[in-house]
Amino acid sequence: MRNRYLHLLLKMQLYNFFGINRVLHSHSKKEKQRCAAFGVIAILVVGPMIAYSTGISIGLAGMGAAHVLPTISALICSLITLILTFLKSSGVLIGLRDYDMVMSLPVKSADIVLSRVIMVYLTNLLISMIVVLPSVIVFGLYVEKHLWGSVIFFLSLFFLPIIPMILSLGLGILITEVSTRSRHKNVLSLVLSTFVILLIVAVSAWAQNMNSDEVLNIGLALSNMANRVYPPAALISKAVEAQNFLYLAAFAGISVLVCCVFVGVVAHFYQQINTAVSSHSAVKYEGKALKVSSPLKAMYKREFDRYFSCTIYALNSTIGMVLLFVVSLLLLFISPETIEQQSGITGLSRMLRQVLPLVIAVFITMTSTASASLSLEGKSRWLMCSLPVRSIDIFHAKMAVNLTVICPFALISVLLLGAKMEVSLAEAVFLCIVPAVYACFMSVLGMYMNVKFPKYDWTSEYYAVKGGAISVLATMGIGMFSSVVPMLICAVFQNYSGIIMFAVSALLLAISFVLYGKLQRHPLYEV
Amino acid sequence: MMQAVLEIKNFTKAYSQEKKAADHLSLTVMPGEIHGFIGHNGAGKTTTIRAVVGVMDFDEGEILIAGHSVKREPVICKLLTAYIPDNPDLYDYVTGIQYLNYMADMFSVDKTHREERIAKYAEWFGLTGSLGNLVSSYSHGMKQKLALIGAFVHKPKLLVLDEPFVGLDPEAAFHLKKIMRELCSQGSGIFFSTHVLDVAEKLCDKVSIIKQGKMVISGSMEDVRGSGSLEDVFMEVVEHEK
Repeated sequence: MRNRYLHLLLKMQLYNFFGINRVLHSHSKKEKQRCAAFGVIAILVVGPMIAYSTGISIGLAGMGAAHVLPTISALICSLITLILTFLKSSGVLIGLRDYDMVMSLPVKSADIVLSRVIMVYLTNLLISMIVVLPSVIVFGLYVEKHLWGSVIFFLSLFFLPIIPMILSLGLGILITEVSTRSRHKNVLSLVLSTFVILLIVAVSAWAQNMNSDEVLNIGLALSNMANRVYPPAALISKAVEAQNFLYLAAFAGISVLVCCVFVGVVAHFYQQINTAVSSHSAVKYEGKALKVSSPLKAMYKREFDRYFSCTIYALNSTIGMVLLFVVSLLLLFISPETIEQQSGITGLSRMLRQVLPLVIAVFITMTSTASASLSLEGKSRWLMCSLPVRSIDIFHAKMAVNLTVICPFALISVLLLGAKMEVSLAEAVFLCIVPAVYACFMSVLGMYMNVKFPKYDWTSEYYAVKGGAISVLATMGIGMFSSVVPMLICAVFQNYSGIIMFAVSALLLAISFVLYGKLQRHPLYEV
Repeated sequence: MMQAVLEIKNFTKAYSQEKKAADHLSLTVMPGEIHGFIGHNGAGKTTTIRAVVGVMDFDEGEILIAGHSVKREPVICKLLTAYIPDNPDLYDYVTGIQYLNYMADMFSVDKTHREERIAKYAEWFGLTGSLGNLVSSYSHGMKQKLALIGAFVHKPKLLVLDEPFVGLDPEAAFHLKKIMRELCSQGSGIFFSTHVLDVAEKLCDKVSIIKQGKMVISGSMEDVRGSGSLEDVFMEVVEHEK
């Protein structure tokens, strides 16, 4: 690499990439176990993604629509990059813990920005490969005459994440910049970020529901729509179809140019933005009466302050509940019969009513503040460990925040959806019990996972909350599995949905008790 | 007989099979006593201190705080103790006063005492006007002062400090010494590590010197120092052991 400093900056970041360096150089047994757990979780998450992508691609190709695969892949890859990058945008470029150290090095701001952008790009590339590579292989197998088309499709993978990634990073910086002007900058940042995520989800949901007659039509509609609203996707489509490398070169050129401009602009204002983020308006303190609280309440309040102090933490762990709330509101204006008519699936409204508790549970299992709460203590964990309280009391405060985030949203949604769907008494009972059980389960599971796999040595809160945090991945993975699988089973065996939900609830409660017992016996030490 | 505020008996901690960070250490801190803990970098001071305050588990031995075992009764021990690490990383997202109120809540300090103590110590450390600002806006020295006030707010029976004088301005160092003596006069004990031998010599009643996890010398300042200075003794011990 010609730029030695960029190379060094990248190398230092790669050391922290999924904890690779620690695995390579640590002789600790615990570290090896952590690595193995990460591997298992990665396989559990990546495996279904590959299977799903392959299934859809084979389905479309089998119906003679293999030619739409490049466009659809470009669209899906872009949407995934857009959402995932946006979620981490605030912690990747701005307000980093090692900002002072990096900025004091003899390197240009552009090198620092570029090194960070490259790291985000590598993460996105990895995800794109997982999602899109099966489509490339299926395309190559089904459209044999398109050998060069397949090569172009494959090469396009390397450029696909760039534009959406830059868009998300830019949006993230813009929100940070706007928020810093407010006194309640974290709350404002959280509100703006949630709005953007909802917007992206709404657009992608709208795109996927353009025509639901059959899978082929969806594919074609998606392809046409993608070509219209996202011109770079059209370039990929043309490049593959015409087997013309010039289109690919044009797409690559536009992507790299967008990236260069972004890096240049951010680098120019890098110091100013970071200074604005880290500066605080000094207020002269005048003694006021202090409120006295019990230790548990004091810890709970502090946990809540922590929750609102970190946008990525709040956003990542609340988005599921916000989505549930939005979906519940939307369903107020759409009757179940209309959904049934539009989808063309007979009996959908009855099925929805029967699996409703588990549908709510799916959103609840996307929510776990507890799974990152211990990791977020970071270098301040000496404080938590030296407090005169039992470890379980510390866990109680953290789990209570999780319940506080889930319960209000879940309660409102249960009321709205229950009233709208006109549920029976028995269904209403399940509608109350099942979400409550899942809320408890996710709180205990998240806490347990974070106790087992804490990640204290982060340079940005992003790495404690996302960025390969095993506890978060495991909690979400297990949680989603525990809700989606019973939901599907209930959908198939509708007559037994009550028994299934009762059994699942009982099982999850039992697991929660076991995990809670383990937490009670777990001493909390700094190392 | 008066009960020791801190008793370390045969404390041993090994990070790996080859190297013991602390090797059968024993010492006692009595009420009203300031005990200096001295050793070069990596000697095992911080390891010992972290085990004393219950943030680190250990392999062998026993640590008692006012007769309570750190292993068996950690919550009682922590209630009696205040601890300040060498580089106190505090919660960046709270204001100074929120942090102090939090610490007072955790140690169940009543309203009158917490307001009185916070006002007094914040004034001494020149921090009163900044208590409404976020901790993230504090300098290193200010964070250290805030951590100290947080430690004093519940009037601990045992005060444990790791390198407390590093980063403090002369005025704050003066007040810290004053508070340490004040606490001792009220029956508390103080156990602190330092590299500043002059301060240790003037401040401590007892001193312990460790090297490679082992106790080299421990006793009253007069006995350890003899006719020379603490620096002479320290250098002699270090040279002798090489």
